[in-house]
Amino acid sequence: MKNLKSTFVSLVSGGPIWAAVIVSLSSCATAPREKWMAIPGYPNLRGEFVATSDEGAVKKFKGSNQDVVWILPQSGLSEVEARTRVRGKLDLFNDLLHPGPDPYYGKRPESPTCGEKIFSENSAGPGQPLAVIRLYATEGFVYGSCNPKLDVLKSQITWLYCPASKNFYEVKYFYPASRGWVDAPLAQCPSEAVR
Amino acid sequence: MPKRGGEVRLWILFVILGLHFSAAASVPRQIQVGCSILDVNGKLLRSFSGEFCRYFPDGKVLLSHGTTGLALYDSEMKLLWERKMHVHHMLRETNDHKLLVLSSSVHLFRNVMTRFDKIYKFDMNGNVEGSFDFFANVHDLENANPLLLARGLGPYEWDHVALPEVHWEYSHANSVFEIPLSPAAKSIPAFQAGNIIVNVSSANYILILDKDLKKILYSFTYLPNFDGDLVTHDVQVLKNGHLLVYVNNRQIGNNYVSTLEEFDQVEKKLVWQFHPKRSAVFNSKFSGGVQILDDGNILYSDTTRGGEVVEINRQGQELMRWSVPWVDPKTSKPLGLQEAKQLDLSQFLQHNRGI
Repeated sequence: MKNLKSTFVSLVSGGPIWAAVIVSLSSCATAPREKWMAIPGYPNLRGEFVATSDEGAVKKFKGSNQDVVWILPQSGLSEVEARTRVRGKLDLFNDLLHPGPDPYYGKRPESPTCGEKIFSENSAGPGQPLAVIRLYATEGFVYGSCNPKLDVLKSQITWLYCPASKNFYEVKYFYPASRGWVDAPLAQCPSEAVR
Repeated sequence: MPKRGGEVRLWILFVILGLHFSAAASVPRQIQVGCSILDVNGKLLRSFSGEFCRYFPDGKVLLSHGTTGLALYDSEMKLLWERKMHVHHMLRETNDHKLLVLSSSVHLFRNVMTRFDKIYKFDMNGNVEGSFDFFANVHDLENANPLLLARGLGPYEWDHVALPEVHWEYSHANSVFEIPLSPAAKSIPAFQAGNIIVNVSSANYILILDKDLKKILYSFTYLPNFDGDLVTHDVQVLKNGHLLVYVNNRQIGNNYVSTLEEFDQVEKKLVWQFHPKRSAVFNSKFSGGVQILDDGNILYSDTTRGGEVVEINRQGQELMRWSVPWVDPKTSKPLGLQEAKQLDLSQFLQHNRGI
């Protein structure tokens, strides 16, 4: 993760309070120094770093009250590449949550539990997410079960490109389905990285 | 003391053997249903978009959507290549890592828009290495199996989203497998390892094509004396040379039931058959998949009461049964499935991060 050392990403909570937490994504080769800082007005996003593996792999944070955040950072992508990547992901999620009819068994159910909303790719300015979607997940963080008994989590996925650092982030946030949907994007580039 | 030393050595041997067998027994296994991966108890581990998928140890995944085609993604779900084509029933991988794809070609045939089966062999870069189009081989097919001419075309009653213009189908292939090394090749040369076996359910015949998909080597009817319209799925050659067949509608007594059968094509003899005894019902009318596991048990899909995955032993004793997680909100029944297969996907799961 050569370009990510000393890079900062702001994770921004939903609701009217756009309070930020700074997550330091330092070198994976050393002992993890990632830390969640408290988010004023959004205590559920307080958490601790729990796992990572090789360079570029998903970093997992577990917070209180069953909140979990996975961050997949990728460095060295151009904005065009990042947008292409996001478009492909949106296609895959759209197909996962709104599959075509089964050739043998007819129309597949489009249960509202599959996904609350797939937001189209937005054209937000630099530092803002390229796309945000929200959907349900199982306790094992699996999307696409479309079964209300299994989908005990809600999730927001944010794809973020920070042009100053050329870093691309996929941020997956999971929280209990009993809570309301988080509307606002969870992540944005820190202002100093946008420039 | 020597006696005690012998006991110690014996115990060490037992411990080593125990470790060896427990390691062998603990090989992680998963069950693939459609484009989802579940653990052996039916817990959903990963889902991908698409109807048919193949997973590779390095994290790559091949996805197919009947309407849009076939696409290979890397471990980070970045698209590597895609091919616009109709894909149906299944994708398979050969021993030399080629991809077998059941597809279709559509032609005006005998004045009717007709679907023909077309089988492709791709390399991992998406290049076509071979194909067998039933349309281009109508003459050979009908020479090899006069039943085709006798039965004529059948109405096309599925997947109208992908092929809306089609009214009839010439054939209905529903499984394709590479033939493994087996003793049956001595008696039936077409059973040579590497050749391709295709089940054509609509007219109850089985084709064997050469490994390059250039010609028909053998065409035969499963159970030629069967009097009726037999529907079969997932026809494969086992390592012992026998055929394993999922029969959807065999008549037993006054009832039509589904059966799983092992058939010796050399001796023309049914060597094993499973259908539940007494009050249990097994009646999967439209689809089915079956697999003999490493320990000899049988895994199969059962759509009698919605999609279920079942494991039995050779004596027919049921060892496991669970429903797929996808439910029809109108009936609350689990949705149907084509097949369930047990695989070791642990390397794939380790390298692929999902969508």
